[in-house]
Amino acid sequence: MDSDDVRILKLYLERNEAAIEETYSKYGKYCFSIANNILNDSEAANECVNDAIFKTWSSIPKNYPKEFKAYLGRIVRNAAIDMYKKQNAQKRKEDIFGIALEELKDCVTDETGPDKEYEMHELHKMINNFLETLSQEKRFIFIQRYWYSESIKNIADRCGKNENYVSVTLNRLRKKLRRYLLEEGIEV
Amino acid sequence: MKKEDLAKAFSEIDDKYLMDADQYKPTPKRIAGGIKMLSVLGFIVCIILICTFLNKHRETNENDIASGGIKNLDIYNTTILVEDKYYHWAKSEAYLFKLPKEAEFYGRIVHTNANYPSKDCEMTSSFDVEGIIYVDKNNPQYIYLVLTTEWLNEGVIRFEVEDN
Repeated sequence: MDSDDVRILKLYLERNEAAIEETYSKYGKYCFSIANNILNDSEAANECVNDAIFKTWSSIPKNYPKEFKAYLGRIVRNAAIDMYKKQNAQKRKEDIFGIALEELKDCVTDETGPDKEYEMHELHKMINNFLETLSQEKRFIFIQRYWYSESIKNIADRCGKNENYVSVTLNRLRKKLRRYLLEEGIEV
Repeated sequence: MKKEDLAKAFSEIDDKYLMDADQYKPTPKRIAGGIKMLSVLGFIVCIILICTFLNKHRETNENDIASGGIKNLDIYNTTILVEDKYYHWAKSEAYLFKLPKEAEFYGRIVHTNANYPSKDCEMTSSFDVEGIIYVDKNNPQYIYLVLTTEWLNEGVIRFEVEDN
C-alpha cells in the first residue's frame, strides 16, 4: 500500500471527513469506472460510488484493509452488482457486464444449491486458488473481464494482444474454471 | 449455482491478485518485436561469423597443405630441371594425397644451393630437401615429386613446367 493510502486510511481512522475528499480525489475515477462498466449508466454509477464511499466511511473503523484500493474497488463492485440486479432485465443483455454474466453460464448450471452460504464461502477460496494456477497475463485477462467487466477490446489493448486472442483465452479460462470447481467438489 | 452468485463471488478475489492485475504491464509489442528482430539479427551475425571462421580455417588448411604447413617459406621459387625443362612448385592444388596412376619413376632429386638448376634432376630451393621424381609421359606439363623436408614427410607435390 502506498504512503497516500496509509495517510487516507489514517484520516478514516481519525474520523476526519477529509478522508472522503481524498478518496474522491485519488480513486473517484477508478470507482466510477468499475461501477459504470457494470451499470452502463453514468448517473447510476455516480450514485453507486457515493454509496460505496459512504460504506467505506462506515466500515473502516472495524476493518483496516491490507490494500485500500482493492478494498474500495470491492465495495464499489458489490454495490454496483446489487444495483444492477434491480435494473431492467432487457437492458442487461446489452451491456458489458450482462454479456460477461452470460459468459459465466459456461462455468455454472444457473441453479441454486441446497447450502448457498457454505457454497459461496468455499467458492471464494476456490476462485483464489484457481487464480493462483494462472500465469500473470491470463490472470490479468480474467480479472479485467470478470472483476472490472472490461470490454474485450479494452483488455486486448491493455495487454497488447488482439481481440481474438483475448476471447479465446477467456473461453478456455471459463472451461478451466468449471473443471477446477467440479474437481474441488463445488456444485456448479 | 447461479451466474450472478459466481459474479458476486469474484468480488472476493484476494487483494494481491487485484493489485497484481493493477500493476500488470505487458511487454510492449514494439519492444517485443525489437527483441525478436535483435535475436534474429544476432543469430544471423553468429552464422556469418561461424561461416567466416570455418572458411578461413579451411583456406588456412589448404594453404598449409600447399605450403607443407610452413609459412613464409619461398616454395614457389623452388625449381627443378627434368629432361631439359624447368619445373616449379605448382601454385594451385600442389599437394596430392597420392601419386597419379600414370606417374613413372624418373630419378632422385639432387639438391643444389645454386641460383638455378643446371643438371638433370637438380633442384634449387631455400630449404633442404630430398626425394624422388616421377613423370607422366602423356602429360609433360607436370612432374610429381615425393619430397621429404624438415616440414614434409614424403609428401607428393605437383610441379608445373615453366612458361617460356
